[in-house]
Amino acid sequence: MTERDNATWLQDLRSPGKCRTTALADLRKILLRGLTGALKNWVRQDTREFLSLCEDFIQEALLIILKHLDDFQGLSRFTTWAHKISVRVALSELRRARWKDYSLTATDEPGQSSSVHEPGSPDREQERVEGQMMLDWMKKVMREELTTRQQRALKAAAFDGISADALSKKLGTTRNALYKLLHDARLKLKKRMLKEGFMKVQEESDPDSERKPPFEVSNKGESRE
Amino acid sequence: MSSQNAGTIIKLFHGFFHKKPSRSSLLLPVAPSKMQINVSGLMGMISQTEDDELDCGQTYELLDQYAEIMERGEDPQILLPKVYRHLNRCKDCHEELTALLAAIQSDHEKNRN
Repeated sequence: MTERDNATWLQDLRSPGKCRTTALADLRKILLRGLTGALKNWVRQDTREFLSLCEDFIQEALLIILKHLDDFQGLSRFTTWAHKISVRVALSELRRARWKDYSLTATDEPGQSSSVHEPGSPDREQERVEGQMMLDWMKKVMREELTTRQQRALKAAAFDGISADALSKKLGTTRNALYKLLHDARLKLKKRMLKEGFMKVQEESDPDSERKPPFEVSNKGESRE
Repeated sequence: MSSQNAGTIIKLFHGFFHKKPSRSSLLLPVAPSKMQINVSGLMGMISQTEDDELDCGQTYELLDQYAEIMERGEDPQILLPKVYRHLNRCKDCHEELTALLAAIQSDHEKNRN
């Protein structure tokens, strides 16, 4: 396989004929090498359908890459940018498949289908009770402060753990619009938390303070800090 | 039976026994704990909500640069702090970063071999 720098990738993929065909074939191999690693925790790899699935994703990714060559700014390696696109294609599709049977209902209360879980702590009664109190407060405030759409979205995203990709499809919106909807919801809830004394002013002004993210974080691929 | 009907029946027969499995049947199960959120974590995230945050689209635009910063062992919290904070809030974007890092590593390893 020819080694290419960013400029050569762009040049070859824009050229007519054999040059472009060879570049596409090389890029396909590179993306396949990447996806087999990227999807290790997502898809069973011991089936013959796995490679076929990857090929489908790569085919779609190549179309997007060719369509958006002008968007590549050269601030990373071309292959990293291409891997990013193929990962997005693959994960978007897999998330939709994973959540296809999830049903949004307006009548479910947040937390009804989820249990209070405090990762990393033993299952002690006091922590469970405190967690339940926090959950009850959260449910009450969500009802009082948020629109129905915001309640539904926040309940689905935060309590049921549905992916933003899948949820945005079910709500008939885009991932960005969903993020803005949830951002507005969080701002309202934050204002309420401040009002009720759940937060001190210095906590508010320190966005980089070390806190656990609210979801489980995989250690795979994390920065070597 | 006409050869056309026989051909159709053979296609249906093969289709029945060689159906492509649905994508959801290939998915690995996700442990329930990975799908649930902890309430105190949620309240922590709410308390850290900023008026001006990057959305998923803006984060996606920078994700390749972010991944390479991590690859080089530099600190993305310093170099791309808003992306860092978005990734701490957004499970989907965080998953995509993890998968992207795995893709880069897998590509390098297989290229060496």
